[in-house]
Formats: sequence, C-alpha cells, structure tokens
Amino acid sequence: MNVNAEWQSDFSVKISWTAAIFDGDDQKLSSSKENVFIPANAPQGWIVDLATGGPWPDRAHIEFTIANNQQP
Amino acid sequence: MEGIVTFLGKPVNGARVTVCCDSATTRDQALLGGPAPITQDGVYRMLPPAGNYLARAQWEDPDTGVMMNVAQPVSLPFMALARVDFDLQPPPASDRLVTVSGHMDIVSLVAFGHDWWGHPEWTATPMHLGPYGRPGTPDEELGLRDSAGTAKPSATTAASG
Repeated sequence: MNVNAEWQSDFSVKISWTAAIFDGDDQKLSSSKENVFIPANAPQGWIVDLATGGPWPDRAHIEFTIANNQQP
Repeated sequence: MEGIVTFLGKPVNGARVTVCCDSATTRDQALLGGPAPITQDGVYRMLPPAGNYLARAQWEDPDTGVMMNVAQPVSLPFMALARVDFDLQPPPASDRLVTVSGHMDIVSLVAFGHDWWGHPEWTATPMHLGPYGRPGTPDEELGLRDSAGTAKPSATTAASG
C-alpha cells in the first residue's frame, strides 16, 4: 500500500493511492489505484480486493480509511 | 526574566525561550553547579541583559511532532524582574494532518509447500502537510507533498498446502 498526498489551498488534499501484490522477485502481480481529493474533516474509506492469476491465486482484501484533519 | 509558556491554556515543559543571546527551557533540569531546578510546569527563568528584544518561545508537540512558536517584543529593565508569558499558537487551519489506517486479509497459496496468510492492522506514518516554505525561495515547495505506505507484510501464520 502506498499513499501520496498533496496539499491544496482549499484545505483539501489530493491523494494518489496504490495497492499491489508483489511476488518474491518484486514483480507486480496485481494492483489497484485511484486519485481522489479528500475534503477537510471528511474521511473516506475504500475496500480493495486483489487477486493474482493462476490456479492458486494469491489474494488480498484491504479496507482502509484516509482522513484529512487540521493539525492539532 | 521569568514566566510561563502555555499551549491551549496548559503549561508545556521542554519549551525553549530565546531572548537576545540567552535561552532557557521550561521546567529545565538543574545543571551541575547551576541554579535550583524549576519544578513548576511550563515555567522558565533566565538572565538576559536589559534592553528591548524580540523574545521567542518554541515547543515541539511530542504527540504530533509539529513545532509551534510565538514571538513578542519585550522590554527588559535593568536590575529588575520582568514577567513575560508566552501563549503558543496552534498551526493555522491550512496545516493538514493526513492519516491512513486499515486492515488487510492476505493469503498466498502454493501447489506444494506451505501456504501463508496474514491479517495485519496497519497505520501509515502520519503526513503533516502545509505551505511551510516561503514563496520565491528554494524551499517554496516545503510541506506540499508527502507519502506513506506499508512495508510488504511477512507471513504471520502458515499452514500446510
């Protein structure tokens, strides 16, 4: 899971996240990604399901939340 | 010169107060051969020379890692105690804290050998974003971008495949 965040002047943040399954040789077998703007104080959640190919696929079920709050 | 450093109305320890060529830390430990230790929360004492200065207090919030500071002009009389309190200001609303957390269910199947799976809860390193840089300078982009992620999980449980 990798998340890139970029500050925006309207207090939102631009998020680019990537979820991926890699094999032992760092070869990406399956991935999902999205670019989204998250407003202030309005967390968003995602559910991602990944699976590799083949008769015995590796699988990942990922649930995550990204929140953008004011620094305390 | 002495006073108290507060943040959101509460005294903070470990804040650094700087005036002219002198500095002190709130509730500092006594140095060998130095003055008695300060035991009151948020209190500092120092002996800067008399004069007019811009005094500054800085404190890094240990919970967030965010450095807060406040500066104010002070007029220090000769051979007299001056009381100067500092009220640290929180970061502006434009400073954002981006947090990412979640849960994974992962399984790796193999035809021969051992399958493995994991169910990690994870929280990425918090990202502190803000327009920290000064426009028109090389640090103009400071704080505008950050990234966080998870390490590739290791097997937490294994079973025969």
